[in-house]
Parts: sequence; structure tokens; C-alpha cells
Amino acid sequence: MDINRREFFKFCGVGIAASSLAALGMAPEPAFAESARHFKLANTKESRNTCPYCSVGCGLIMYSRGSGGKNVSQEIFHIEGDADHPVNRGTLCPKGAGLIDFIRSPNRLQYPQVREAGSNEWKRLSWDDALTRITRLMKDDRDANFIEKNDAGQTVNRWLTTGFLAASAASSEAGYMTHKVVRSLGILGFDNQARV
Amino acid sequence: MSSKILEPGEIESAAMTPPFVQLPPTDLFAQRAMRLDSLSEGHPMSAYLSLLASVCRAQQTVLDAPPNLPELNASNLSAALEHDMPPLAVDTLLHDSGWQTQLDAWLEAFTTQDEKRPDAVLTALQQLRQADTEQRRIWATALLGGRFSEVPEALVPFLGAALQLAWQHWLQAIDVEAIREREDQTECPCCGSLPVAGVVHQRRPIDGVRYLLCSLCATEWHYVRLKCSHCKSTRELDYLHFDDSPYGIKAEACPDCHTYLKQLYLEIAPNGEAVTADLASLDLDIRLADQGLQRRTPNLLLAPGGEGHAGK
Repeated sequence: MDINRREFFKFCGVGIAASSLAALGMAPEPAFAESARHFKLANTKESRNTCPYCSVGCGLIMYSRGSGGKNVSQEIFHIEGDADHPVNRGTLCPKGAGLIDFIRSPNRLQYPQVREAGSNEWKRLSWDDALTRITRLMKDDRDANFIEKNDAGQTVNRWLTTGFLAASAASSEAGYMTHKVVRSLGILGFDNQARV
Repeated sequence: MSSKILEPGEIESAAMTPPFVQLPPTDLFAQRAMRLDSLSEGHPMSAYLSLLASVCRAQQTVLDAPPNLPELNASNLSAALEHDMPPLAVDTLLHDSGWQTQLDAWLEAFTTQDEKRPDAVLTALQQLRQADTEQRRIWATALLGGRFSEVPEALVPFLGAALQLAWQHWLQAIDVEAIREREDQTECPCCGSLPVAGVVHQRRPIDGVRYLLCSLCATEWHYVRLKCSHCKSTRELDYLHFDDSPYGIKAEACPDCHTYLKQLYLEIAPNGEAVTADLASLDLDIRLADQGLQRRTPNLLLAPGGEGHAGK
């Protein structure tokens, strides 16, 4: 069959006159085509993601509203298991099934906060301040506690006083980068599993 | 829409890989007729949908009591399957006289329904009845090849119905187990035709799984969701629909190739059926055509009338 001559299946207002509808004397009122132009066309996005809770890494499909245009904020309104995902085949555990509330939780962290030693109060600070502070504290701790050689004089380059917790849903690439950064510093205690 | 939590005993079924191919139920045409009857109430295309309900009833009548047809060559069928080719390939079987016998049987069944038909319908039936085998084959080849403008519009729903009937009858000779799963299959594994629409199922064990529904033989085959069924792109797909539409249809629109596939979500419309929901929601096609989106997937029960050359 000559596939190159395939036509689009184009059903449009003007074309109705040449369609089977008109040919059989059953064309709808012109208002039908006209009204279709004025209905509100809704736009839903469906996107894949991975559940952030544990290292099983269940596949998700997230549904959101909003066109994704520059001035339109998208809102996720439904999350379900991805039936095509080989790990979970569309199913989710109770925590995964409640992910939509996790996204909309009023208790969600949205900015860095600090609780000073001895204080019971959380204080908000800027990302710049937070990152500077974290690096300062890490550097100080590493300078104070880094073990370059063990008792036998062998080079070990260990930093045992700091640990690192990364994301359970991280991809292989993110896991590789985490490993390279953390191990290069000498940290031994790090984990990619949120420990369900 | 509700998220699902596993109940005891459901892990086994959940762990199952969805079947690649599902053959249509034997009463599919009767189901479509019922759907069309209920959809036609108060619909702007009421007359046409009612006519198609009769068309589908006649399809079911003939499928239940088929005319005497020679069986298809079994070794050809298994050879095709062995080489991952569609066993009921359109270009081969259009040269088989079987579908023409089915067309005559369908015309017979439709005419004996004893309903008053408009003159335009009677004229079209007469034209089909009187056409010789070669002319019919030319029309059928054009229709199944997607060259809608080369077939008289009035004949399309009747010719299309007879072709669906013939292929669905032949489908009974196919061993589903022998069809090997292939990824990214955009054409029907049984007959090689384009799908008419997608269906996202709602019942276990295939809830949430998308199948493409063949426009000709009504075979459903698994196609990964969130992936353009034409260019296979997975990026930035949009799902467009009218907010208050009752048909459960959303159009999966691809910004890369500017085509869309209508998709029936059975979770939204549990009694829905894709071919009939497609016909009832043609206002969505009008709107999407306005937006410059193109549709490749044919519905054989309607000649759309709009010009549009698809190229390759």
C-alpha cells in the first residue's frame, strides 16, 4: 500500500460539508462547529516520576493542570502508580498512595532554617547563608577530626565525625555523583536509603 | 480518580506483565450499537449516530452467523507470525474475495432491518451493491490506505463497517499466544492498520495500562503511556479535552510532530467504548484542527471531509 499518500483524518468546521455526515443528509447544525470553537479547552499534563519515599523506586504518573506557559503555575492534582513501570506495575504502598498530600502539606520545608545549639527556636535564613554555614561547619569539623594515617602508619584518609544522607529516589547518575563527592571528602557514613 | 492500595492477595496479579495483545469481545459490535443508541440522545449528530447504531447491529448479525467462507491458509498465518509480520495484512487480504462476501452479507443484514432510511442512505447502499468487485476493491484500498478523498463520502461508513466485520471474522483464526511482543508498535500486530484511538483501562489486572485499538480489526495492543503513538516522542505531551465533556476522551498531543491521538479513559467513562466515544466527541477534533494539530488515526465509520495530505 502506498503509505505516502495517506491523508490526515481532518474533521473541521469547513469540511463537514464534504463529510459522510453531509453526504447522507445528516450534517449537524452549523452551531455545532461554531460552539466547538468557544468551549474552554482544558490542558492536563501527565508526567513520569519516581516515588521519593524508599529505595524500591516505584514509578509514578503525576497529573497537573496549567499549560506550562511562562506565567501559568502548574498544579499537581493527582498521582497514581505507573502501570508501565516494571517495579510496581501501577501499584503503590499507602505512603506512596498519599503522595499528593505530601506535595501539598503545609508542613513542607520550603526554605532553610537553623536551630542554634541550646536554642529551641527555628530561625529562617537565606540559601547563601545556609550553604556558607554548612561548608564552614564541615570544613571546621574535617580539619579537626580528619584521620590521615592509622596507628600502623598506613594512609587511610578518613573523616568519621560527619555523615551524609542523600535521596532514596536518586538516579544512578545522581548516586554516582553523591559517591564521588562524599567519598572524596573521606566520609564513610553515607546512605541513599531513607529507611522506610 | 483515586489512588490504589493493595489488598491481600492482589500482589500476584499486580506483579503480572500486561498481555501484549487483547482480541475484541465477540459482542463488540452489539456493545457499540448500544453505546451509539444512548450517545445519540440529545446529541447534535443524533441522526448519524443512530444510523451507525443500525450499522453496528448489522455487523453483529453477520458476525454471529457468518456467510460461508473458505478458511485462510493456516501455514501463511503462522509464517507471518514467525517473521513478526501482521498475519491479516491489509494489502494481501484485500485481494481475497472473503471480505466482499461479507460486504454482501452485511448489505443484506442491514437492508432487512426494516427501518425507514433516508434516500441518501438508500442510494449509497445501492451504489455499493451494484459496484463490481474491482471497483469495490479500489474503494476499500483507498479507505484502508487513508486516502479518504478517493472514496465517495456516503459509502464510507458502510464500506468501513463491512471491512471491520470481515477482519474481525478473520481474527478468530489467529493464535494470540503466537504474537510476539514488540516495543513501540504503532500499527496493529494483527492486520497492520493504524489505531483509531487509545484506551486507558480501569479494571484489574490491567488498570492504568494503555492499549491502542485497531481501526480495522479492533485488536488492542499494549503501547507504553505518555509516548506519542506516531513519532514515539516522550517529551512534553499535552492532554487536551473539554472541561465538562462526558465521553472520557482526552487528546494526547505531541508538540514534536503536531499530531494527536484521542484516548478513552475508562476511569472517567466506565461504560465507554473508544470508537463510539470518538464519534461522539468530534467537536474536540474540530477544535484541535483549529489549533493546527493533525490527526492520523482513522475512524472507518466516517469520511471526515477535510482536506489534509499527511505526507510520509
